Amino acid sequence: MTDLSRRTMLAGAAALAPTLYSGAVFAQSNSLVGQPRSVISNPPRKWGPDAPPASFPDPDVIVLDPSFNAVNQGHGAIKRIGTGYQWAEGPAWCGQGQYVVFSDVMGDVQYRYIWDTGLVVPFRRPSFNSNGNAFDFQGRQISGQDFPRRVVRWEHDGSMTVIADNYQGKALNSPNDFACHPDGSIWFTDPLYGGQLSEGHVDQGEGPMNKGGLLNPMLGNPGSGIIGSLHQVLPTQIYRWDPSGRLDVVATGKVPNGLAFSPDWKKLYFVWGGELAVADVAGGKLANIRTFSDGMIDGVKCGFDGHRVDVQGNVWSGSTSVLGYSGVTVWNPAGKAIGRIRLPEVCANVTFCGPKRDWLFMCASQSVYLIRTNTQGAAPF
Amino acid sequence: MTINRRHMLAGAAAITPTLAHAQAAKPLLGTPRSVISEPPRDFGPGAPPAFNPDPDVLRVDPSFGGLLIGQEVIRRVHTGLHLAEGPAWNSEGMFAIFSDVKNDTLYRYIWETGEVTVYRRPSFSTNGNSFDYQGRQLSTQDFFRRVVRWEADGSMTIIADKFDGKPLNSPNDLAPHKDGSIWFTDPTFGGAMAEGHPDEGTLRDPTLGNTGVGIQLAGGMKQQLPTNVYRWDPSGKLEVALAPDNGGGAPNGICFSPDYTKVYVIRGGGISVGDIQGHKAVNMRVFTDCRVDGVRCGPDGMRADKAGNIWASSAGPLGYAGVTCWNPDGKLIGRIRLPETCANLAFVGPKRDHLFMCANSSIYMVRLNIQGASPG
Repeated sequence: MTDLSRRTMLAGAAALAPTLYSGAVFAQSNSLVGQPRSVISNPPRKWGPDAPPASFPDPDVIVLDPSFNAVNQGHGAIKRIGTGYQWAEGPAWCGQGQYVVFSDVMGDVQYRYIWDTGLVVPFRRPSFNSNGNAFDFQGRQISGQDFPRRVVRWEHDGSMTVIADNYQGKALNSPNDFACHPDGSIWFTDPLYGGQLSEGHVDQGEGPMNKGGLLNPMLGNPGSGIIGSLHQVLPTQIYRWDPSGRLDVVATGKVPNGLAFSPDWKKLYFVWGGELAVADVAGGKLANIRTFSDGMIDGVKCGFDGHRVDVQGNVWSGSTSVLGYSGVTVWNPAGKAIGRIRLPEVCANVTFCGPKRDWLFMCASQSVYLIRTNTQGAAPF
Repeated sequence: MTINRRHMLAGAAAITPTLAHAQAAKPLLGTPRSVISEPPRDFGPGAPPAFNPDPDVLRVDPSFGGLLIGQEVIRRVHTGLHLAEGPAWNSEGMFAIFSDVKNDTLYRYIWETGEVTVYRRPSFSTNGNSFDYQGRQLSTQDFFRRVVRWEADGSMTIIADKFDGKPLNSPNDLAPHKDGSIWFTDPTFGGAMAEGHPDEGTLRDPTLGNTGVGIQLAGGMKQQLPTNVYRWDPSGKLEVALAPDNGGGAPNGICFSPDYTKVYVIRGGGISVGDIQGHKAVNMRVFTDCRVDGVRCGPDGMRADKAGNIWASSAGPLGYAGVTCWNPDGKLIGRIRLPETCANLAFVGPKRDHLFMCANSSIYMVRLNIQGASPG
């Protein structure tokens, strides 16, 4: 190597450059070329304040289809901006206040990421096991509180309103995720997860979420007096809350989870029994429910939990999968996987954030990650 | 020292009723430091524990006691500013914003951490701020001589930058009315080099240090209008609600009574009040001349509490600088001494029961037993 002048080295590097982006993985045999660490390299990529500089394009942002390049911003790296949570969920961007709220469901804390400082601070503690969050078109925060099993809204004067805690007199299970429609309605899913000890409270006595009635829901209960249902009685459903206060079932029969509208508000994407379903939205109802994606990539199941839609109509979903496939999957409006983001943890949910709404905020188990994209979130939250 | 502990306590108890006058003679008692003691009270990070009741919260009338919490003390929560102004509370987001007009920065105080962060820089010399009933930030930008609104989706709308085809002077303070209108004052302070930009055609060059090239002319470069109070209607129509008539002088701070039937305007070194009739302020009368003990406590900004008391900033000399509190009849009932001249204040906090005071280089806070009348 000593007879190689600096100039020659640079020329050599320049000659390699054109093939770098497309063929970096296969170019390793040339000792002049390094290989950036990724979440699946050995040793793996480092995160946090001591991590070395990340290289662009990010080795963990994977283009599956050339169309992904239109929404991918190559000059950026995934950053871990917070860690140490028990179960990160429910990210939502407040355009008015320039911060992202997210829930540590099991930690019973709602955090926020302050845009101007890049710091994560506890926002509401206890959060009553808040799970999903959103902001409506008036900029009001909507939260699902797993502990009291209800949907609440934080008003502009700082007061809180209970939006829904029962359907036809029967207590909701544990409202999980939200999508606000421009007609003023709030659509939400009501699975059973808040019936677990760690994410809310179990049924009192024998029940679907307390087999044999052995567990005591009152231990560590900070919500005496406001506790919602103590026993789950409703099937897992998707509801539409009308501004008039009326609550309607729009889908029933499977376990729902995350949900988000298409940019034209005419379609709803929702997690439905382990798959991502899509249905047509008309007159406050869902029609023609069909499978949008089974989540299979390279024969590996990338499980769905929560997702958001960009202005081009692509669906950015958290991926619950094995290392190498956990992170984020991106599906075009036809349901084809066009790209994905590998994270070192299982990712439950994502949202678009930032002043231009062009950053992807990823709630991944114990940590939250951020990367800039070349698109914008379709919804303001 | 032959007296035992029990005797000391008994002695202290006996002295308590005459505390104020007994201090000098009784070496067993201390005097808490205040902003006018020598040496004065320390507000910095190394300050000793503050004593309550706070020696700088003065009850002029017994009714003031009902608005106070005796255990609470004035805290300085930030310092190092050039000219703190325009505090406003965002209930949705749990933060207070405020302007450093001369340092061209909008800051915010994050409630849960007590941290002050740079929120918008440049702020284009933002001065007054508020939040409307829909939770949208309203700001006056002295540099552009205009009123803007930040929407829920993060975009910005220009609410007003001209009247009758002429550029506004430099909208200063504003108050959202429950009917959806926005009332704002339009004095000329933004024409000062430090607070915006001087008119073109003077000795001072308004283009130096101009970070807003391309949009600099939006509000115009020359002040031409009288110093009016305007009412902006949600329809977009701008009307003069109050003209600077018969010695009233240029307006500054503005706020409404809790029932929104009266408007208070700071002008002529005091506070005027008028009735709202349609889109106008009528029957303007002096609410107070802001003289306390014969000392001028010049107001700049103010807010009403839920009981209708008016809390006004005071630019009086040391000992009178801080805050004055006037009951709905215009009678002084209490005041707060600060070690700096105070420009403006707002009620903040989840229960809207803390007073947030913008005083020159610093921000001070004290908790109260009353809430602010309006959400912003």
